[in-house]
Amino acid sequence: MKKEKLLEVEQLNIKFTTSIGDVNVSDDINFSLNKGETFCIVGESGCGKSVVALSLTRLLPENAIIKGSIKFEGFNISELEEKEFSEIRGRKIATIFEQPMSCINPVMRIGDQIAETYRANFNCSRKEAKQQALKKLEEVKLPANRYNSYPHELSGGMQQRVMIAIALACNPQLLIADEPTTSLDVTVQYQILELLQELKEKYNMTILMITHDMGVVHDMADRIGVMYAGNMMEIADRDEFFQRPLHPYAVELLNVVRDPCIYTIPGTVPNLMEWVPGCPFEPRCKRSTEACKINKPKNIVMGERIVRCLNVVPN
Amino acid sequence: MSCLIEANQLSKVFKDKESTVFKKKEIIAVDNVSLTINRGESVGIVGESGCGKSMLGKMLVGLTLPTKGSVNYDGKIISRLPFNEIKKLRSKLQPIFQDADSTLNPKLTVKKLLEEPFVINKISKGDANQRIDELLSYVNLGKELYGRYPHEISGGQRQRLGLARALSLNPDFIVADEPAASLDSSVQAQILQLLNRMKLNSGLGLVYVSHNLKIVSMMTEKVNVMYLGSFVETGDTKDVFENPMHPYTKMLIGSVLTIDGDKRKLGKAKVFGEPPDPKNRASGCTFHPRCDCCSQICKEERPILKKVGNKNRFVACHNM
Amino acid sequence: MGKNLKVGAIMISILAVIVFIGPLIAPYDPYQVNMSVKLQGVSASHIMGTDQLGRDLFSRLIYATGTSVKISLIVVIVSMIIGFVFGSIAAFIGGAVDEFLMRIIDVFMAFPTKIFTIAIAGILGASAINITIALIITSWASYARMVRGCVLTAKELPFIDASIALGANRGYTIIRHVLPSVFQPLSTFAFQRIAHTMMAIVGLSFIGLGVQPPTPELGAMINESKNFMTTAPHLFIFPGLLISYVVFSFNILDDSLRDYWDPRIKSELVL
Repeated sequence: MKKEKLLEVEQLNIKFTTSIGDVNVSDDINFSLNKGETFCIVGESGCGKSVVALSLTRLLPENAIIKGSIKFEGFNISELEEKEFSEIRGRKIATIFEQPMSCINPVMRIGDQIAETYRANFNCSRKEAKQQALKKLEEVKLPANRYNSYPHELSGGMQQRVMIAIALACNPQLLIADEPTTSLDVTVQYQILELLQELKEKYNMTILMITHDMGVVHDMADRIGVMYAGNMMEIADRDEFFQRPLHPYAVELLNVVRDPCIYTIPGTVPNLMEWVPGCPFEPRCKRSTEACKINKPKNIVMGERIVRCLNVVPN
Repeated sequence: MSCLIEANQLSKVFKDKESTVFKKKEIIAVDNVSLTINRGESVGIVGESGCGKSMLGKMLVGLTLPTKGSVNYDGKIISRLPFNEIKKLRSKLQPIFQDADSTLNPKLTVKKLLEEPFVINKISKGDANQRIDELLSYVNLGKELYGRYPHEISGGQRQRLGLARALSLNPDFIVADEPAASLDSSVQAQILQLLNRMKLNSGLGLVYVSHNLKIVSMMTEKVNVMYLGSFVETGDTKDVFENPMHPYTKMLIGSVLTIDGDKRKLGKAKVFGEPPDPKNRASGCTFHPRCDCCSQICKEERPILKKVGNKNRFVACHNM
Repeated sequence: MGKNLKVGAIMISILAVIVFIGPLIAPYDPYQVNMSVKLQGVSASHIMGTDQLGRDLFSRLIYATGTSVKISLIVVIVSMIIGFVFGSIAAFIGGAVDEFLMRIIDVFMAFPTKIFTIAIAGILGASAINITIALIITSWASYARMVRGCVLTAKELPFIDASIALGANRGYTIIRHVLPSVFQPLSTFAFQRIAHTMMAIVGLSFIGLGVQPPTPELGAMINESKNFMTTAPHLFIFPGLLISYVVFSFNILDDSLRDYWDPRIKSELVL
């Protein structure tokens, strides 16, 4: 059965121009999201995963140069004018971030903020908007008496719920969640993830989740993309990935996460400022060969699976 | 085994900023906690944010003095010693902080930072340099970092620099407060293994404070589960993780997402509520508002740690 | 080294040359009256012309800049020292001492600068010394408040704890960690205040409350020139330009020094 694609990203290249040189944070990235699935992009800090997510809704700073095509529901949205694009952002693609306070207005009651989002997008009456906002509060499991609370009166977990409520106000088809639970306690993280899962099923939403936590990936993802130093190293189905990762980086990362007291990956994450001709993981890789130092690996497609490595061990 | 650190009924109480002359408000950060750590043993303290675990760690190394209770090290009660004596002891009791970045003065170079412990304790330059060389190879840092500032090196390197500083005076006892929390998993592993090696090589006592249960379960032999300032369950790590008894321990363990096994865990555990606010403590058992097996007595009477079974296991719950 | 810092350093160096070496190379005595050459324009013998009493404007400007800059430096340095002492005492001792000192500081902060200076000038008479005293009295409190804030923040920084854990005593942490953390914001603040104080002196002298004629001072000189605005515009154009130059050079140096002193900003990569 061919799955319907909601988002297709092809040849995405993102470069930042800074005073000390150019930084390549996304190197020919291709991936696609099927309707109704959760796709997790996982990677360590500085690998460019958040930049990729932000580029989808054009939230990057001005010194970013984005190339490549982004198709949403079959339309190429990368060439849209800013005015047309703003119709999509928020309404069809919503984003939640790690720090809820970064997108909640600190001096406005949370209920009003949710209602405001409605009014801005659906042109409805105040009363109707309030009704909708109360409904959303219930959906994210906040008591109705929190409608009149200010953001600072809420705990981190509750603020995250408010942000989810605002993001879902327009019933978006795609929700981008950028490290939504990183700064929360495990118990709260668990509840927020449960909530996301529940809402996803209720609205048949597609989720693009950015995270560095393999545990979260394990429980949330349908498909997984592993990023390292601006490269999408592997894309695979969840079950296949956890049973048999193919890229050496993915293999080692899973080992380390499973048993941090036994395994390590020697070395450190590379500096993106320094351009390397070969594979960026080569210096830390156990399977590296001479060829890895010179040639940039190309994507090897194996059915649904994509691996970017010169020495993939075949089945 | 010889007892290295013994904490007796430690409490730490702060005055609330909102308190007035008429109405005194207090925040109880740590409430009547007792704990012993032996040489060569590692003990975990786990709990949600704001449960007082970091404050307890600070009291154990003598950085903060307890409001009530005492910490014994080597037969001496730290809080009763004159300042000069505490100062001498401090080199033997070292904290490793969560945020290595902020514990390194941003205006000093790596070299200066490494020399600081020796300068403070007036150790000669020759001895110091020799020790620094040893330390650098131990934590696997190169000398090429000498001239750099803390923000110019990576997070993992900063944490290793912090470790090197803590180890420089040959401590007996280390409190590691989330030493790897802000690091990437590949780098985290390097730090954890270093800590383990340290413990094995020099036989020091280690307290590992963390909210990451997975790591605590691997790093420690004994574990204490902390909720709102007091221990609710203590015991051997293996026992506690295999057979959690306190509802809070069950909830904590249930909410940890790991990559072990194929099955998804989400939706299976019963996890409710928010981490509690020390300003609004619940009556009776402080955990009762989040507990799914709460009865009348839980709301009225505070449970105390009681021995359960014949192992070294204590649980504070009415419904055992 | 940033471009701004270079520009600022060069501008300040030129200013220092004017203030300290200028008097040695000034072609005329700034007080020498010569009515035969009064109100002359720019010429070979008087490169910036002369004023209504025939005094050489170039020489007077050199001395005037010296007066203004020296007074503002004295004001800033003395109030910085007073502020530093009181601010750090308040922060380190804390408690009732802190409370008491802060109330005193509040009182001084409440003085309106200009009106207070007018009052001082009224009581003691307008002179360079009195304006210095008046400006110190009205400005030390803000330094004290600033130092106190910095010390309080610095005292709580985690690396102080780390240092104490290594066996350091209080004196060591204060000298090694707390004071250096205070020094940088304090000097940035002081640099900012130089330009500000300079403007206050010039302004007060312009309205006749500061430095008195015939002592050359930029504000006073502009005041003297106001009667000849149409006939001899160079009399206020040159001092005016010089004021802008001085204020601008202190401001640009202050800005770039702040970036230079903070090693974190120096190599920050915007990603």
